[in-house]
Amino acid sequence: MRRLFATWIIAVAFALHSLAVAQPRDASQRLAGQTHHVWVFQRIERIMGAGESCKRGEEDDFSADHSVTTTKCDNGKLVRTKRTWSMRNDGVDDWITIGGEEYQLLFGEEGRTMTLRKISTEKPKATVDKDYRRRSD
Amino acid sequence: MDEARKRKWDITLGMFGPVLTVAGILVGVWQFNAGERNRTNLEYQLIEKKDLTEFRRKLWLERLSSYKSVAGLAGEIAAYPKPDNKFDQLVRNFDSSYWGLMVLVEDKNVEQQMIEFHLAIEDYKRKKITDEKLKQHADRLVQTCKESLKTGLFE
Repeated sequence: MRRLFATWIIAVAFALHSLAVAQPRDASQRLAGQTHHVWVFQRIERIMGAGESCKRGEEDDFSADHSVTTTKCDNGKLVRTKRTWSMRNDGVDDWITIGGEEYQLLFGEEGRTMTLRKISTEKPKATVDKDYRRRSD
Repeated sequence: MDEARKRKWDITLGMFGPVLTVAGILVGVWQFNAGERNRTNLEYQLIEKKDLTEFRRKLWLERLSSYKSVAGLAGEIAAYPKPDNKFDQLVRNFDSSYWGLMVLVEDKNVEQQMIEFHLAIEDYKRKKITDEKLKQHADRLVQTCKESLKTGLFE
């Protein structure tokens, strides 16, 4: 009976641990996961059989090693840019710096969506939101 | 001294005496005018300084009143985050201050926190942030208002 109870405790602890690992605890983990996450701003539409040709789209591949590769369809060609990212928390919000540009970082739908926000510094100027959806690998 | 020489001195003094008297009177008048001018300038400067202090005091009181009103609204919004008519009314009142009253009195830091709280309300309505985060933004706005009041009086 005692052995059965101990096994049950271990099983519950393991299940809780797995759950905790599966749900990213902080913003960095939500962003890049254990290795990387691809975030889609606009789905890339490739032209079949034409190599790197495309119609439109933009995706960001955030890696856990703090690098980010942006793949963007620019003038019908796929252009890849690699930059670094870093994160900070000001006590209320998460802020991400990508290649020198800082954005407020917001997650939604339990980490399936993300917003990179450029907050305006004057009221009449608009705040720009860039909404992404995480690509399920 | 002979008579002729004495007479010459009398004539000379008789000629320069009135000139010196007139010159003395003119210098006195000039001195008086200069003194008056300085006194008037000082008085103007004093009045100007007093007016500026009074203007700053009025502005500070206006700022205090606006901050109090906005802090009250932010507090109510944060304490009552239920998307219903009352919440919408509170947000509308906050928006009125955001685009009106506050523009007159806020400094750069308060403006930034107003923008961020304004965005936080929108995020909360779209369920992008929790009510806990909305409260944190409200708290930061009120704290920034408090800091602004501390410095604003002595600027």
